[in-house]
Amino acid sequence: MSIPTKLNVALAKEIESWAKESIISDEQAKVLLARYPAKHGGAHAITLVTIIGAVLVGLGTLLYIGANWTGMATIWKLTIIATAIVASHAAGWIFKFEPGNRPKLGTAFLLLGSLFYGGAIWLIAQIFNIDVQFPNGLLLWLIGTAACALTTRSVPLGILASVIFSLWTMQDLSNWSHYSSNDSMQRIIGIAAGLGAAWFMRSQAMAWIILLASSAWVAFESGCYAPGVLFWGIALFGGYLAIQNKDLPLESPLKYVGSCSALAALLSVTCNRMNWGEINQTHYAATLGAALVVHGLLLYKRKDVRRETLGCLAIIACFILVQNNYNETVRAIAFNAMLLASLFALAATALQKLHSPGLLNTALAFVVFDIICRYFDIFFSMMDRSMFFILGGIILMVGGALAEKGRRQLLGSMES
Amino acid sequence: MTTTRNTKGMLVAAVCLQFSILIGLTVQPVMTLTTGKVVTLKTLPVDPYDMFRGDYVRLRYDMSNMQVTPAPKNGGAVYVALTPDGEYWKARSASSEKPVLREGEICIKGIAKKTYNGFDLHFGIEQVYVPEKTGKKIEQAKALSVALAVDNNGNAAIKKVVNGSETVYDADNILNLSPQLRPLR
Repeated sequence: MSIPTKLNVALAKEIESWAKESIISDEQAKVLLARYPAKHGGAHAITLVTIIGAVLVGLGTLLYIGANWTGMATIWKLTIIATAIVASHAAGWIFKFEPGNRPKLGTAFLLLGSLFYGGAIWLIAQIFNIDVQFPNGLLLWLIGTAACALTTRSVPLGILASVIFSLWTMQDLSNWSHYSSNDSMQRIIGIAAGLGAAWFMRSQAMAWIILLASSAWVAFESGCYAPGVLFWGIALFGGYLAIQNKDLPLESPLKYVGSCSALAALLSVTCNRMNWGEINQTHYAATLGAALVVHGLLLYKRKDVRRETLGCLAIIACFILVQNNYNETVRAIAFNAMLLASLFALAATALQKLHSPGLLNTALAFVVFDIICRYFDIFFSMMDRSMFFILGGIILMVGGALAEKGRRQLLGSMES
Repeated sequence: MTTTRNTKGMLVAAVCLQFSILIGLTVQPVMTLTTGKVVTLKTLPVDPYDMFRGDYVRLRYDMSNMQVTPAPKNGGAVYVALTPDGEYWKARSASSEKPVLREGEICIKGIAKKTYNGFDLHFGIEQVYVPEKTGKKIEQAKALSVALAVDNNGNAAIKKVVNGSETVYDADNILNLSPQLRPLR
């Protein structure tokens, strides 16, 4: 079993002390130490330094070529960058995979190769005056980098691909009304492929980057606003329910990005009461469809999470009903009730069923955010500014102390 | 050993994919520049400079916001019929279907992007990179013209940009071993 480096170091010290105190025999200590071989805490730092070195070399080379473009013939620029791509990948291969060499240096060279490849795309775009926004440039860079990441199973390359994915999803297309159905389909396929790649490479870092970027896209670029974010969050949370306790890298990102997205969407509708613009129906349908499919499958396949799944489906149904109600008071009351019910349900599930302190903390954090929002809603225009802040501060301090006390009691009961 | 060999083969395939993409990016503009018919359009320069890639000039054409009939889809293809008009060419019509061309006309293909008040037409010729520190001067140019190479499929590439009597960009330099372009004084 793989355990974190810090725990590994602590465990080795503990085993040594147990052996010294004769709690276990020397033989048993050897067996245990062999089961958890020593990890060196500096390994990550060395990898990081090597990778930063590769990034700096890549950037420096590209800036050199870019800055000297009037003084260098095009054919030479292309030759230099093509040679750099091949040489970096070859060196990466030799150092990473040939016996007796240095895998971390190999990874750095592979990363450099993909940076040079990205540089080559922009260089060609510059030579032939291809559009400065060039959305497909990032997509082409992503495809080439992802191909190398998947073939070598190199996590740093996967992380580079995830960062390019984030840039691609979030790049300025000015407004969702500029999106064609082709753009939408590309992004939806991209999100699915990115999550699949994170799963394949067993990389939690990739999953975090892809899910955060996808959520940011749904929230700010897709044009489906709070409803889309809510459905998207519920779909991700359903994904978490499906894979919980299986020690998979997607578990934590799905759990937290999903629950935070859904709760943030509910909180936002209690604050601005549907002040969003015209909704992009394609993206709205896609996020709603994703949530319904995930929870439909869960309902069919997983009886152990039926209560949670029905709760999520109830939130979706209530939201759609309330969203189409034009009475502002009814909407405000209903959205607040939905938020409170969701927070209570999440806390109860985290406590009783999922045994997840992180989810409990998430629910309590949103309780605090809700208190702050309601305080601003009710008192901002009613009170003198100084009184508003003094009273607000007191409420937060008391509320924070009570919340912390309650949180400790809940966590204590969870542990017992 | 077999796994390592497989990984090596797949890495080689991935690098080949990268090169295929790079070559794919290059082939079409090179073909258009070498085989396309040359037409010259008047243009208007706007806001140059790209932080990462140096000076460039954004170009706007009369045909960039033409009325398109029948109306295109967002992101769909549009075709503009160009007709010679003295020294320069001008747009006669814009359509989402391939137009029937008159004698001597040429068709340029673009993409329609929806805006708040209609469509912006993009032809892939809306910017040109120029030597460092020359973009500002070109931005102020009063008589900027662009020579385009347009191939039989309507794809266009910038062949030459002329500011008055001075050539500020010449695509013929692309495959030369030493660049001929001189920065503007």
